[in-house]
Amino acid sequence: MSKIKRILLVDDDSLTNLFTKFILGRYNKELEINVCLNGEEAINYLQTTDSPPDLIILDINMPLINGFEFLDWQSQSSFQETCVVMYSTSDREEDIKLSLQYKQVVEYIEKPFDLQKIKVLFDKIDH
Amino acid sequence: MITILIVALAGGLVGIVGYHSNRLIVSSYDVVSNESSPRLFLLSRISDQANRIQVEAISYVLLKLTQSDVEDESVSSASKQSNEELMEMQEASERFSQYLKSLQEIDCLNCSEEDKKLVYGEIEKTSSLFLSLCSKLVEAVENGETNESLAKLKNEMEALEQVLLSLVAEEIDKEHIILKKRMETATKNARYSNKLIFLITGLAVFLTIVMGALLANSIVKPIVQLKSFAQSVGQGNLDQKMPINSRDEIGSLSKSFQQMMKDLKRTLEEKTKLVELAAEAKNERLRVSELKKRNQELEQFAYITSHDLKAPLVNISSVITMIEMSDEVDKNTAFLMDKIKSTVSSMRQKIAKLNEVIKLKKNMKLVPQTISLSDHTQEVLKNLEAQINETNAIVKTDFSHCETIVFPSIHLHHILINLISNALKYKKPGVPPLIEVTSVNSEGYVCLVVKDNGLGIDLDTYGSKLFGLFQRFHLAIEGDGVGLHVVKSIIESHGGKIHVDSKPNEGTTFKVYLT
Repeated sequence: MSKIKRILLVDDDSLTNLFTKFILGRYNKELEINVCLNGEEAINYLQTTDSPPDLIILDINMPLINGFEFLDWQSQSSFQETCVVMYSTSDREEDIKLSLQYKQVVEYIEKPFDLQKIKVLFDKIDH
Repeated sequence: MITILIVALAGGLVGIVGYHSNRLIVSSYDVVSNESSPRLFLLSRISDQANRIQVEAISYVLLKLTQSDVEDESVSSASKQSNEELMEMQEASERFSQYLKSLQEIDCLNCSEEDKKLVYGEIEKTSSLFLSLCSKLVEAVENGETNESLAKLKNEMEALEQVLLSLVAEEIDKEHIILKKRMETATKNARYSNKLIFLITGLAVFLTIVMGALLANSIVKPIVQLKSFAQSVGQGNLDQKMPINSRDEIGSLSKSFQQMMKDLKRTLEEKTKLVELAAEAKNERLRVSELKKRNQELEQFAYITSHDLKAPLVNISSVITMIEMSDEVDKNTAFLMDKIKSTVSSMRQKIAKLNEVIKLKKNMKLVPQTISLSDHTQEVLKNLEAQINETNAIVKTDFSHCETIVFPSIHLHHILINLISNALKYKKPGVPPLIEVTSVNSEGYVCLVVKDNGLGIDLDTYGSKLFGLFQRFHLAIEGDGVGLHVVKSIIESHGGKIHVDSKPNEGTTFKVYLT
C-alpha cells in the first residue's frame, strides 16, 4: 500500500473540495482527508493537529493567505518535508515555474482530478 | 608703460640737476683760484722788490761810505762790490716797475674803476717817489755828499717804503676780504645746489612711489576684478560682461577670457539641449514603460478572467463526474443538480462583473462635466436605498467646503456607489452603519472623503492587496473582489489618487483625490 495515509486539502472552493474528497475516496477509501478553506486556516490546522498530513493538496488563488504565501511559511516551518501537490485552475507558465521552485512541491496538477491523474501522482510519490 | 616712462624721466631729471649743481660749485672754486692768486702773487712781489731795493740801496750807501776810509789795495774790490749792489738794486727796481704794470693790467672784479685808479695811482705815485729817492741817494753818494744829507735821504726813503708797504698790505687785505666773500658765495651756491638736489631727489622718490602705486594699482586691480569675475563665472553666472576694457595685456587677457566664457556658454547651452533631449527620451521611455505596465495589467486581467471563467466550468465538470461515478445517483441527483445550477449562476455573475470592468476600463477617457456633489450623492444614495433601509444606516453629507467637481459623471457614480456600498456591506454586526461623505479642496485636488464605522481592515497585513483584483478580506460577507480595483483604476486614469486609513473594528476612511 501507499505511504500516504492522511491528506490535507487547502482550497477556498467548497465544491472543489467536495469533488476532490469524492474522487480521492474512490481511489482509496482508507485515506483520511481534512479540508481547510485558505492558507491561514491550513497554518492554524497544522500548528494544532496531533496527526500531521502525509500530503498537502494546495490551491493557489485563495483569500487571506494564498498558495504561494502558504509555501513560504511552510519552507520556514517544521513541515518543510511534507509533500505538496499544487492543484489549480490556472495553466499559466509563471505559476507552474514558481511552484516547482519550492522543493516540497512534487507536482503541479490542473483541475479537475480524475482517477488516472491520482494513480500517477501516488505512484510518483511512493517511488 | 607710460608710468614706467615717467619714472625713468624723473630719474634722468635728478641726474641732470645733480650734474648741473656740481658744475656750479666747480666753476665757483675755479673763479676763486684763477682770479685771486695772480693779484696776490704780484702784490707780494711788489712788497718783496720794494724791500730788496731798499736793502740794496742801503748796503750800497754803506759800502760807498766805507770805501773812502779803507786802504788802496782793497779799494778796487770794494768798489766792485758796490757796483754789483747798485746793479742789483736797479734790476730790482725794473722788476718792481714791471710787477706794478702787470698789476694794473689785471682786472679787479669787485672794485669800481675809480677805486682802482685811486689805489693804483697812490701805489704808482709812492713807488715812483720811492724810486726817484733811491736814485737821488745813489747820486748823493756818487757826488760825495755829507753823512747828514745821506742819513736824511735814507730816512725819507725808509718812510716812503713804509707807506708803500702799508698800501700794498692794505690792498692784500682787501683782496683777502674779496676772496673770503667769493668763497662764501661759492659755499652758498654749493649749499643751494645741495638743497636743490635733495629737494628734487625727494620729489623724484615721491613721484616714483606715486607712479609705482598707480602702476601697481592699474595692474593689480584688473587682476583682482578678473579673479572675482572668474569666481562668479565658476558659480554659473555666464551672462555677465567683463568689467575690464583696457588696452594693455590685462585687457587682452580679459578679452580672451570673455571669448572663453562665450564658448563655455555655448557648450553649456548645447549640453542643456542634450539634457533636455535626454529628459524627453526618458519621458518617452517612461510612457512606454507605463504602457507596458498597462499591457501587463491587461494580460493579468485577461488571465484572471479566463481563470475565473474556467473555475466554475471545472466545477460543473467535477459535479458531472461525481454524478456519473456515484453509486447512488438517484439519491443525490437533486443535490448535485442544485450545485450545477449554482455554479452556472456564479459563472454568469462573474462574467457580468468582468464585462462591467472591461467596459469601464475601455471608457476611461470620458468627457468631464461640472457636477454638483450634493445632487450626485443623493442620486447614488437613492440607488442604495434598499440596503440603507435594511441596515438602518445613517448617511451624513457635507459638501459646503467644495460643492462641485469637474469629472465624468459615470465614473464619479461608480466611485461613490462602490465606496458607500462597501461601507454598508462591511458593517459591524449589530451596529447600524454611520457613513459620512464630505468634500474639501486640498493641494489642487478635490478630496472626497467616505468614512464609516464598520469592520475595518488590517492594513499592515492586507494593505498591499486592498486594491488588487478579486481580493477579498471578509469571508463571511458576499463579495467579488472587483469593486475597489475598478475604483482605483478609474481614479488613476484621471490622474488622481486614493488613500485608505483603517483600523480593524473601528472603521475605514477612504480619501479620493480627483483633479
